[in-house]
Amino acid sequence: MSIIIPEIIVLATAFAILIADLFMNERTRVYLAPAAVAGLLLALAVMVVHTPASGALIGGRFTMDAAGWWFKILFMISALIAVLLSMDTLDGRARVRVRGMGFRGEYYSILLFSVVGMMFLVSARDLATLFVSLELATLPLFVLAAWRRDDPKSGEAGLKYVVLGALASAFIVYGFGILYGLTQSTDLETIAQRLAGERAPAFWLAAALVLAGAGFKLTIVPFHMWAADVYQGAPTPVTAYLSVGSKAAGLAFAFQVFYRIFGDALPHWDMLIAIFAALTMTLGNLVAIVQHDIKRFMAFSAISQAGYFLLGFLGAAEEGVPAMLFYLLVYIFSNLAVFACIIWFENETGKGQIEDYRGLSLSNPLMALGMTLALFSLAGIPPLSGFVGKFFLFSIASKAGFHGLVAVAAVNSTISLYYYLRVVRQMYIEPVDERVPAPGSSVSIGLSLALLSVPVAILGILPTVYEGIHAATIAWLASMPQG
Amino acid sequence: MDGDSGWMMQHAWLIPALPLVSFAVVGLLISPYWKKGAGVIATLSIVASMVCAYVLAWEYFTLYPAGGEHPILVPWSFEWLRYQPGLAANVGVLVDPISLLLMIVVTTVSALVHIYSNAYMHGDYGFGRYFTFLNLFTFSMLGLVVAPDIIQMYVCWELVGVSSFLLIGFYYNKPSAVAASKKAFIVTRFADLGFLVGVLLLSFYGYRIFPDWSAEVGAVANGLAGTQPVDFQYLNDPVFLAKFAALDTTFLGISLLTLSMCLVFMGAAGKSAMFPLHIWLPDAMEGPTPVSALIHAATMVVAGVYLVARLFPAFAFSGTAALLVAYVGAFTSLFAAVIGTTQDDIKRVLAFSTLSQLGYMMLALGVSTAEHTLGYTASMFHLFTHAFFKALLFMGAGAVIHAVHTNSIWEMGGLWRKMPITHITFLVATLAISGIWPFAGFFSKDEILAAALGSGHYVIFGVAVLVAGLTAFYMFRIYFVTFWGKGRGAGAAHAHEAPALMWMPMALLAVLSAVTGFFPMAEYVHLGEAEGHHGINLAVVIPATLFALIGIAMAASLYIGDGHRAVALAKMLGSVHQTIKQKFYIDEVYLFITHRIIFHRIARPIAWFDKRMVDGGVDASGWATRSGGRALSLLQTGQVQTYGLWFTGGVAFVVLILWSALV
Repeated sequence: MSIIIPEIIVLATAFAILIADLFMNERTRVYLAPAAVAGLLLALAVMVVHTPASGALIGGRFTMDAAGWWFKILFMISALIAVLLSMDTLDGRARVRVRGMGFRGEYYSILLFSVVGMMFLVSARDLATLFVSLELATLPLFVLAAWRRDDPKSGEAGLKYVVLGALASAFIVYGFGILYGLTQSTDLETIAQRLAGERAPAFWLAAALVLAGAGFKLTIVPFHMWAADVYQGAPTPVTAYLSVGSKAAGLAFAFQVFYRIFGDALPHWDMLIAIFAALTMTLGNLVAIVQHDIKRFMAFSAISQAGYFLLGFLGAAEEGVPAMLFYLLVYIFSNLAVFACIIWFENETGKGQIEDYRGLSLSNPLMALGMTLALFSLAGIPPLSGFVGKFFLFSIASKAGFHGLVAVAAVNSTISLYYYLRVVRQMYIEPVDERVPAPGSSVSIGLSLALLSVPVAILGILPTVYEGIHAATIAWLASMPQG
Repeated sequence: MDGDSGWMMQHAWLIPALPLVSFAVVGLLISPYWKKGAGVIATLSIVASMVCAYVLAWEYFTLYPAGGEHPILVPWSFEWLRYQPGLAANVGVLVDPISLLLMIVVTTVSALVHIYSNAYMHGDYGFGRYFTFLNLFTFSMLGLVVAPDIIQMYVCWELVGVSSFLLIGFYYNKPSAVAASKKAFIVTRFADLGFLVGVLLLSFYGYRIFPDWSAEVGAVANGLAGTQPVDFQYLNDPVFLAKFAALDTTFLGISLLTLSMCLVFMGAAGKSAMFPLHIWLPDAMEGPTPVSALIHAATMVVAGVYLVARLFPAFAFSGTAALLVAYVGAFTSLFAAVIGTTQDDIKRVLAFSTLSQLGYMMLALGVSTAEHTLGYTASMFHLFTHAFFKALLFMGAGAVIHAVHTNSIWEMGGLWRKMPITHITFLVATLAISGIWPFAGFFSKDEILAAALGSGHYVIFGVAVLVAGLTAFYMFRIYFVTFWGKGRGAGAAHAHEAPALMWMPMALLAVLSAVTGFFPMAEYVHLGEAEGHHGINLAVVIPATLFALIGIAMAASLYIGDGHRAVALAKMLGSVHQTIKQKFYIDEVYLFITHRIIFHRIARPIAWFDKRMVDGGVDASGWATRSGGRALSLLQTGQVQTYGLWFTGGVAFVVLILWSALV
């Protein structure tokens, strides 16, 4: 029973916030965010201290395993930081007020619903649960993207997201339907067994449909189109959460699909994965170069990062899975650190062009330093954590014999360095032409940035976390159906 | 590690980690806001690291007492980056007598230099930055010293080079300092290219031979479990060396072992400023004087010596490479000593003296063989004593420069009355470096000479004895000119004693320079069974001391008084003197080669090609990348219909690929 307690805590917190909101006035609603933080922290604590690394409930439809444990931790950390980053905007503490960002109770509870959906997603063991939890994770994101109801851009983002998300969901459902038709089962393990050696065209179609759905979540080219508009239009704290939460959920979904359903066929797909990896990182990088809006820029950066993740599927699972999980961890920390600065800067100045960051190193050296560290980590500069994460992913591709792909990835890393440095250059090198008023500071964002910067700086040096993930993966693989 | 090893042994990583943490904290958080605190915290971290190093040495030598076996321990290590099982970059701490020796030298001198710098750099505009860099340097140097494998050694080697670059160019608005820092960086970087190729050769063949070696040696049974193909313990293993040397592949008739060792020595020669890569060290004196004391006298420049010592079994196995080390070392020691007799800048004299002493250490390593290892001990012994008296000489020079505001010895004079403590400590160091009994240099030099004589390299022995005389001569020359006679410059008249924070470290170093000679080094640092201290070998001591005394007497006769005899002698020698004073025109030769030949004949056409073809290509690729980005961003129409179309097209694409992959 204890394996589901974290989910119950998060869900209960979501409902409690929703109901409490009804009885509160605007002044007392500032306590909603701390309540959400407390709920998440409690769930995290239960997860870390109390939850066993494996187990099953409801006839095996809800299971817990070592990789799932890591995913759930990452989901909750992302949500926790997202709440911390949203507080200032929602509570009206921003110097430049964002209009139409109220309704705090709904905001936090919807955010938490999405987290619960993601957590159920990694525990699902049959098609129905998998699909429903995927929707539970995604639908709240549509709502959050359209949160600023008086801002047409936010509305547009939400609408585009919902239309394309529905398209992706439709493809996934079709794919699942065909899989059910082929195997007469919704149980993932049974499906995998019955699909072994399957060569019928219907199987390829099903695989293609499901893969496209996973590609949508992970922003793999050409299923990435939604990302730029949605990232740019959504309120910035939502973008921060989208950029990590949605990607983590996409990777979790891809794990479920690749390793549990198509585990047998995966080795035959390297060429496909390699093509998508190369396309994704190249397109994301090339388009990121010409962006001026920092949120749109981060959207394309996130797309190119998704291409690096795919490299992990090329090698043996015991190498690839820990590398991907580790890079996900690194990516979440680095990306959220960058967004912490973006949100803070937008709150303080209302600006969001890359050129606006000019002279930030003088007006707020610590913020500029945190952002630089995170951008360097995303670019993969040693000895920051991003470098080590990329090293593991690249070495998997090179060991699998995809030397050309590694070369493409390395060239892309160099290109990405160029555009990440564009931001650093604005902060540190470009002359300050006018005396901009020094932006103020923020407790919640400063705290988040400090919390994020430490792992960004040291995860690459201390191997403990990677070793933990690696050990967890070995245990996880041992529990896999076909071993 | 086993349970009986002490606490410090298990936490040996603290020694390099403390300066690293302090570097980050001081550099990021403290120095922008609280200048004075930067110095205090940086100093405290090094002192803490020093205490750790002492405790570690004590624990090690309690476990393995003097005179007995001294195994190499790796009490702490972890895998940093793994490419595949058995091929990974590890980070760790290696503990053996020479790494302990270097840890003690580096932390002690660094701590004293930190203390000294608090006064010396007082009021400087880059005070916080200075201590940040100094901490970075100490961390890199300690990381280099404790490296258990050649990869970590190389990484720290480069870090040391960077921190040296940063500190030489510390006064970045002074063109000569900037030029010197560039020169140091480029020359050592050029040498490191050789080192890198050596590292790659060693690790490539090391990895290839590794399975054979493990099968033959039975790594687990020999306590070498967990050894990696890039670990020093493996690279120094005789079985590996025999297999490596026996490879059929050769390069111009040179065996791969000798070739890689020569390439490694190229890196070592760059860092330790051996001829002909020595040209950067005299210019490096543009940095603040405490930096010269720490980096360019006591620690970083001995990294090359340490590298050769670390790979000594490999050098000895090659034989040819060891001979190269011996002759390069001997030639450098003579060459630099001759130049040192003519320089006017006190720091430059000391710089050439450092070159000369480094040559001594190298030649001692070079003359020793696997059977006859006295030179190995002697070299480490001299490294140890030299670190103290040379750091002291630089600190003394720093105190004098601080008081007189000039580097030229001819504007000093008569300082013994105004700066008594500096004078006494400087005299102690001068006696030590000249090899006068009972000061430290006497004993270590004695061992080096005994090693050269005992190994039958009579030419090298003769050179070394001659250099001992020259050393005494040029050192007493600057001593007499600086401290005796009458004050010549305006600064010399108003000189005053250095503040306590400066003279106290100097006094401590003076004590060390006086007594460390009695340390029974051979009991602690040896290869194979300990070769007992030979006592005093008269065949060595008599000529060496005689030459030193002649040197001192000549310096006294030429430079006590108004120095007219010296001027007359210089005039008599005419162009010879001029040639030596201009450092044999080596810099000019380099300039000629680089400017006239490389720049004009080679670089110009390349530059043309670079500008037209390469830059054009780069610009074109940049332009193509950007316009590609712009073109691709047009795909992002903002139309949901387009997005949906792409999505559906993508699915069709996946179906096609899956179909073709599975059919």
